[in-house]
Amino acid sequence: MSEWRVTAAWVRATAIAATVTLVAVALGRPDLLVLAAPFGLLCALGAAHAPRTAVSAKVRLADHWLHEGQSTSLRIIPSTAKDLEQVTVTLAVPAFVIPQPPTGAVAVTPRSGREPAIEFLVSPRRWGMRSAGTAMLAATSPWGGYRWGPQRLPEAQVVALPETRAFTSGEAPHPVGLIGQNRSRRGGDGSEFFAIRPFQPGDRLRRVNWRTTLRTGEVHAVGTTAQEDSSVLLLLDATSDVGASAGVDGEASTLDVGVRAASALAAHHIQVGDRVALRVLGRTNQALGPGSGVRHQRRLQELLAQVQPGWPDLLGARHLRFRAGAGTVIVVLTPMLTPEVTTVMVTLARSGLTVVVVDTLTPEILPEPARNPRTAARLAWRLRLVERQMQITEVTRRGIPVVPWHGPGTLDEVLRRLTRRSRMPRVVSR
Amino acid sequence: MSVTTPEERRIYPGLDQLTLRTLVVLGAAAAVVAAQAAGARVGPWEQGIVFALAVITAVRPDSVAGIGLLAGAAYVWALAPETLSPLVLVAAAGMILAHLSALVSAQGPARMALDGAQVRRWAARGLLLWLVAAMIWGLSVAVADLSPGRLAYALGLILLTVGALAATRLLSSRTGH
Repeated sequence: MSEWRVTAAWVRATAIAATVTLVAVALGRPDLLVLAAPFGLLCALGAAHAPRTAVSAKVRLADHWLHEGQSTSLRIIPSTAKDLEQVTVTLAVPAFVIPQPPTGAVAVTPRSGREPAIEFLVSPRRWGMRSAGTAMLAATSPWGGYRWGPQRLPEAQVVALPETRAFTSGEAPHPVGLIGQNRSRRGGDGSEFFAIRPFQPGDRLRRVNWRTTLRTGEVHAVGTTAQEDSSVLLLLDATSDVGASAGVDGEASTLDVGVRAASALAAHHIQVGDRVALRVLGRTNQALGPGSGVRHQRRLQELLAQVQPGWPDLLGARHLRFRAGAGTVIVVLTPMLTPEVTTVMVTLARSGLTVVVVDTLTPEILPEPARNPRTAARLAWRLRLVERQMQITEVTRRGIPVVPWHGPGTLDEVLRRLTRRSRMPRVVSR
Repeated sequence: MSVTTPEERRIYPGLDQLTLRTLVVLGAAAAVVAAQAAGARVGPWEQGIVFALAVITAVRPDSVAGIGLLAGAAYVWALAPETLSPLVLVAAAGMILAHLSALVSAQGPARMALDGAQVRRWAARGLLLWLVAAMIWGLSVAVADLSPGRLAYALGLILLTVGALAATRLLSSRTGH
């Protein structure tokens, strides 16, 4: 708890007024009184306006949830405007949070009848849970005699959801549900043209194709494919985070790419009516069952914002239960640097599930030691990249496609091939 | 393994703060120049000390160097032989300017933009304080020709009584009695 204290300026004015007045009287120099008088008056006015009310302040954050790169208002509202001639607030922000004004310090003069609020804009530049900054409040009494603080105010927390960039993709290879926009293998009440076929009981009259009917003499109708939803499991590898992260408008680490790609994929599939589940392989081990709708998407983004890189307690196909039903498409977002994650992927593929790997380690993400030929770390990185290439080769050999993340259309070609493959007759060993 | 790249923030003072802190030095310089113009013989080391104290006060406006600066400026003026020179008003203006500039710049960190309302308010107050100094100087000039005796004592006594009454009135209104 802070309290009112005399300011250095008041002490200075008092000391000069007292000393110079004494010297003026002692030496009989009226000119020195001319120099002392203004400071004496300042000292008297400062003391006369000694404040009596204690000051406290509330911290109000307009939005506690926002996407990285967005900004929100942080208001500091002193409890009273009485006895306050001037209020100063400084804001010390953590990494990946930018304040506006960029100096992080604002001084205002409270006006009578108005709430003496100080406003900053804070913008988290990277997904995650962050402090909006540490605010320090100082207030000065009239005539600069006394100062309150600087007093540290409670911090407000902001959750920066990952940015959801525009993303589109092809159809899922195994649509199984009742709703959604994926074309089914069977006919049904959809909007996509399937065939012109003889009229069947139950067909709507507006579906009758009169041209074919007149030509053949038999009533024909336009058949459409059913539209079904699919189940997608997003598996995010957070065991490691490679590369520098400079926020939403700068360099991205592998975890940045993974989290943002997962957010974009989830938004796309939920928009087309698919059920999306999330599993994070990392220190925090978030898991969210399949679901759809805006609320589910928001919950999924909240979990993504809490991802922290690190090694999970148990990592292996034996210990992990993914609860992925038949027909589920598993999209694994990984930098392919952890053999255990590769083993998990292969195990899932062998159980008959469709697995697609999104490679989050692009050449520009590699850290500086991996690119600088003068450092000894480059050799270690070379070995690591060779191991990574071996893992990619092994995964590809087992029919799991690996595609680097490049935003919209990343999975188009892969999903198209998988859809085609799923519709082809297969030899099943019995 | 993730490398945190620091965000660019402005941690240097703006032009307004630089100007304000320069005024601290200029105010001190004005006081010294006025004293020299009034006939004070100021040695280079005395000037150097005042200048150094002014620079320290400009950089650290809350430091005790400010007391040394104003005391030094008053000392330099005291070296002037002419006691009622009008140049004392220039010296007073310089000291007030240095003091108030330091006061306003101490209201926040150096990187903070100045509050325009505060600057205007303190400029007006500075003018008021200087007018008080001018009034005292005028009074000093007016009574200088009078023979020391009852009138001077009577004037001094009246001023002290008025000051004491004003202080008592102000303080009693604050304490609520």
